[in-house]
Amino acid sequence: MKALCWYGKRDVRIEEVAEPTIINPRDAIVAVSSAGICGSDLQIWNGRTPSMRAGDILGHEFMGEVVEIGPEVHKVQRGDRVVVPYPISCGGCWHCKREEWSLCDNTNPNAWMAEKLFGYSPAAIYGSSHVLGGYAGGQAQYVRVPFADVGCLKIERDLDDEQVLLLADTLPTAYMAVEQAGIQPDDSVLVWGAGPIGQLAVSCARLFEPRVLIAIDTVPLRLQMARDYGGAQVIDESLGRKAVREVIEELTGGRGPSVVIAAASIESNGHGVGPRLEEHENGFETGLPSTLWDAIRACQKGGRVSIPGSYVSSVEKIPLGAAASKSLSFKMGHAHVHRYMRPLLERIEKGELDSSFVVTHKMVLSDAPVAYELFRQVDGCVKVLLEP
Amino acid sequence: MLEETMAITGSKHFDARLGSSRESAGSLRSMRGGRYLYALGGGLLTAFGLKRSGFGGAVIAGTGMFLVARGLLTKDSKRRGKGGLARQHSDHLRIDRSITILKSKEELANQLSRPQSFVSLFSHVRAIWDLGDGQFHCEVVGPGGAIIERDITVGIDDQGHRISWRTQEGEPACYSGQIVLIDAPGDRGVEVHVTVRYEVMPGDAEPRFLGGKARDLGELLADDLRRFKQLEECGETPSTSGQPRGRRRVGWLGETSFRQLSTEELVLSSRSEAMR
Ligand SMILES: [Zn+2]
Ligand SMILES: [Zn+2]
Repeated sequence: MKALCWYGKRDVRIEEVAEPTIINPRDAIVAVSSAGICGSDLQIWNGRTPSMRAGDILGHEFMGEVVEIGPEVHKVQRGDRVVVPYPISCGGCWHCKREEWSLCDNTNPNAWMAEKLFGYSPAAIYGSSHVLGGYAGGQAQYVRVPFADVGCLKIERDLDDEQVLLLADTLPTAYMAVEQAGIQPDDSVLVWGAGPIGQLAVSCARLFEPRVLIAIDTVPLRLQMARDYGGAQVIDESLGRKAVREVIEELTGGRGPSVVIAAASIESNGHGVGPRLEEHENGFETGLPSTLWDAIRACQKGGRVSIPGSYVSSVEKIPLGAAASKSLSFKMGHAHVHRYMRPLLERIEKGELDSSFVVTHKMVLSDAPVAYELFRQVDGCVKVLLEP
Repeated sequence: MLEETMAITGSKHFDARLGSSRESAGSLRSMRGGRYLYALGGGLLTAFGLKRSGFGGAVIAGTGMFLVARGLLTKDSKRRGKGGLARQHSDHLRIDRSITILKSKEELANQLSRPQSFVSLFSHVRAIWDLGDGQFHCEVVGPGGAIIERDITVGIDDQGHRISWRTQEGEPACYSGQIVLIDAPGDRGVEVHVTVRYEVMPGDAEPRFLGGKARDLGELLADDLRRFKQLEECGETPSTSGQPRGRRRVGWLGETSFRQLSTEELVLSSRSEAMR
């Protein structure tokens, strides 16, 4: 089969590799129909993720048709059309029972590596680093899905791939960032960064009906999207820090937003709001994550900062002084995708929520190396879908 | 050598629960390694210096002797620091690991009630034969990776919440261990606490190395417990072995497929592929 393999910094290649097989009784094999390129894929592509190995197959946001199941898979069958959540969760541990799916105790075969880096291991993730399990990803024609009973969300209505694919990652990630900020009608919400997660965070925040909803970015197309699809008031960050500050004050009665969602993390692409990070010799995350810095400064006293971005290693220079002096609360984490998939699918089916507008490009899998370049370099590229 | 082992394992007894044999093995190695390096280097320098004549030779020999002395002194000071404490304790390598499993005590006790199950539970236990009357003959991997054979007595309390084993009276190098099941707080299941102890004899290789993959006994035991938890909680051991991956040889250092696309190329591809 064809698969997108990682070989080094900005070196990804389409290769002919063996098809995946059932390894464990609870596995299924899915023939991929669409796979997204996520901001954290870009981070891997850029060589900023530790513990990648040459030949690793990328991709953690994918969907397709079940073509084979192991003997212990009972809830999905051959022929089912499914979206697969990006964290791999066992369903049997204490965290899974509490629906903290991205904290699963059991699915990371390299838990000992994660323990060295994080203290304790979170759930494994497809197509990411070996610290997070080293599972082959879904930017391929076929992918093995462990614990298929726990993971797969069946799509039974006639919906296009781009309407439901983002249930695998981007949409639940945005929703959880919003939900854990505990938005109330009197809140003023600022979404800093209007990439795919930022766009959907605006759309999800809108469901909680805050008094004020603001999006910030530098790319006109993204600002237009946040205004047209999310109903946000938008601020062009290229106006400069002082001007941006003045507009935020104006929109929030001089208090600042009570909720800030810092939706551009260190792995975001080169255009739009993003990190101006000093690349360290080892190429891992470091330096100043300017979005986080701006978000913390902008936040109202006693406000909440929600961080949906995926960070793997350390980030320096977090302005803890500002956070402490203003008694801010922080919420973050990999999304517990399984928890949100079904309710969000229902909202999509009812027409209350649409995530397909962020998909700006569809490309064939063979063009994936170009797609990564495009995502990195072109303002008009918000989300790319790969079709094997 | 034995005294050093004692010093380290002795001090580890106090923070036993998460006591890391890796740390102890590491510090053991650095103490020994440093001392040997000084002594060896110093010795060679001294010999080399003495063979040469004149001022240069004397300086080299002097430096060599200084290094030998430093090696010896380093060793002595470390001994003084911890030795007294250690002598009150055992001369055992002790490894403690624990894990919490979302099962009832009864379910876990049931799994652990047969000492033969130790072969699948513990990777340091290679084989075990029932001799009757709570006596077993077993093959275990010892410090240094050597396979040692021992007769052990296994005791299980009435409810099966505490299982302990040790070599029989009169066996030369003691090997013992225990598994204790304790209720975890709230709804978290059961804490499984495992202790394994080996008597470390003078001349034994460093406990760190088990050959092959160079994993130490503590890491091995941690992996064992993780696997036990996985089997109990999700019925299988998650694995990636045998999954597909790219096999193309990585080229010369720095070789990459990366090519900065021209603006025209990007605009072209974004126009032809863009949906909106
Ligand atoms: Zn992602
Ligand atoms: Zn789990």
